[in-house]
Amino acid sequence: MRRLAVGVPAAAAAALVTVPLVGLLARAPWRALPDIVTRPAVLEALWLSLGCSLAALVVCLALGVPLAWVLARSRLPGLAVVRAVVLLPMVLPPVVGGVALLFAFGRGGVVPLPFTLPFTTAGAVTAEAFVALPFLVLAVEAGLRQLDRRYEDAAAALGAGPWARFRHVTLPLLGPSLAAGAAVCWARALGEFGATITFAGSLPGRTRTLPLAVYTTLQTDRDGAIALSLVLLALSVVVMAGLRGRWTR
Amino acid sequence: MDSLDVHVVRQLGAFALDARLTVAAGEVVALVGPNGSGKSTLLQAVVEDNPGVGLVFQDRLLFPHLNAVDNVAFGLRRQGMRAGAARAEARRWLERFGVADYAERTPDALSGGQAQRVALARALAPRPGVLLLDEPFAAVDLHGRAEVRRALRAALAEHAGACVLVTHQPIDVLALAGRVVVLEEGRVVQDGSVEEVRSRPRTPWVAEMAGVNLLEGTAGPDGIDIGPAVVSASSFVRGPAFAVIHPNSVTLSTRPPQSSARNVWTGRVAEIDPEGDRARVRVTGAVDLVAEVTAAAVRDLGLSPGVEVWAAVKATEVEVYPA
Repeated sequence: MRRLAVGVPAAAAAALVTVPLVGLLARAPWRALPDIVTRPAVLEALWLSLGCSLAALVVCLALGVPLAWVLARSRLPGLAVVRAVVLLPMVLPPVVGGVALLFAFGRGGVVPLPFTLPFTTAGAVTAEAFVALPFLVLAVEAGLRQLDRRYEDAAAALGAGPWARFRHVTLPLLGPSLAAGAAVCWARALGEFGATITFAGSLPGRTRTLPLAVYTTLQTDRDGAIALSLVLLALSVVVMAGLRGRWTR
Repeated sequence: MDSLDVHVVRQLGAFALDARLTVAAGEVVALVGPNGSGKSTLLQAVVEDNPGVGLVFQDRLLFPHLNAVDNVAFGLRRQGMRAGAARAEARRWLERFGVADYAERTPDALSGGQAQRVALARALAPRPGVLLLDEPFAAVDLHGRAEVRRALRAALAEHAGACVLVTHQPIDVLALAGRVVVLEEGRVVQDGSVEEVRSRPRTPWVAEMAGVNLLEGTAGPDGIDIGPAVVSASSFVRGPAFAVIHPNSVTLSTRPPQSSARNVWTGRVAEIDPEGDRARVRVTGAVDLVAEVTAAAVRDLGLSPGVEVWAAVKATEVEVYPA
């Protein structure tokens, strides 16, 4: 009885995730696939997606690693609040994030910008970074907390200054956490939909990334939508494979 | 080159550290003391106040992402040495400590003893002005210890700066240090040459480390009054004093001795600690003493815990010095 009580919902959970993905594979127009994914509009969306998500990753690394450092190492008061706010996009509906971005950086927004951000490619990157940042910060902060700081003391005793300590000791020791955080961050940016469409719109070639293209295509061309979904699925599988041993064991 | 002069005052809960440590250039000072006496805290403070001191930690802390030779080259690279030259120099240091064969291994593939040798090479290679060695032989097995000690001794002879060695092993002190600083409960209780500290210990802990009997009392014309007994000694010291009796100077017998020794006390054997063909016998009685006798004597006298014995010490074998 007890075995059944656990086994049935467990199987249902596995099925909930597996069945749609298998369905996607079953319904895939395998023959037409090469044609579909090489259509100019698809390739355009694919390159735009890769470009935007990688740019968002770079932004997240450049800003997120220092932030993770402060969260892990600093004793400034109020850091708990900062952490909670920074991690909020993980649970916040992305569309709300998009609206918030619009009111912050849009015309007449809270932050006056000398250039236009909404409905531009840079805006799409901003939206993706907004949503993906917490995943990187979380992983890197955890990595920094696990790191034995005495290695940095040992490096200091050997004459390494702050930058040399970071570059030659902290960073290499942080490697696995950083790689995992970057992978999840990038995957999240790549799949980002709600914040992007709200803040940057769905302008072909400028802000219509793959997920947006899937959504748009689905209304007119089911096979096309499935094909594009397969591309995203394939990229996700690659990320998951890269995290092998860390998340899947 | 570099000398060291630090005065460290720290309050850690109920524990107070207040110690001054001075080490001249080229001098090797052994910092000794019971567990929890503040040695590590003192070293830590020295590190914090003197960036760039060479340091060998108790737990070595080799960089796990670098192999042995790159660990040793790390400090040389930070001094601006080119990669090739630094690695060549690092290899020479690994050779000195007998671990050149493991140059390409990462720390997780090294034994504790090998890692310890690499850590010593890493600390010494950049030729730091001040060198701190915290239990540098802790992980080296007994077999390799003499060899590593020899290598370290040779390296220290070239070391122009100050060196502080924290250790629990009297033999390390004898082999490597010129001066001993004894720390107990956060304070320096004795500071002197190795010979002086060994022959004239000022606390029971130092006496035990030196392997001698220490008695404390008041010296007068008849000897030194330690309370339960007056120890005859040939000394002109008067007033509060210490008396040291070397275990070799204590003669044991199971009958009242016929010797001319002025000091004869009865007691019972508490413990027998064999060391090769000799044995250290702890006797408790009016005067607690450790006697060092031959293993043959233990057998012939039938010594075992509980046996009543007479301990005899000649007055001339009692060294008295002011407290």
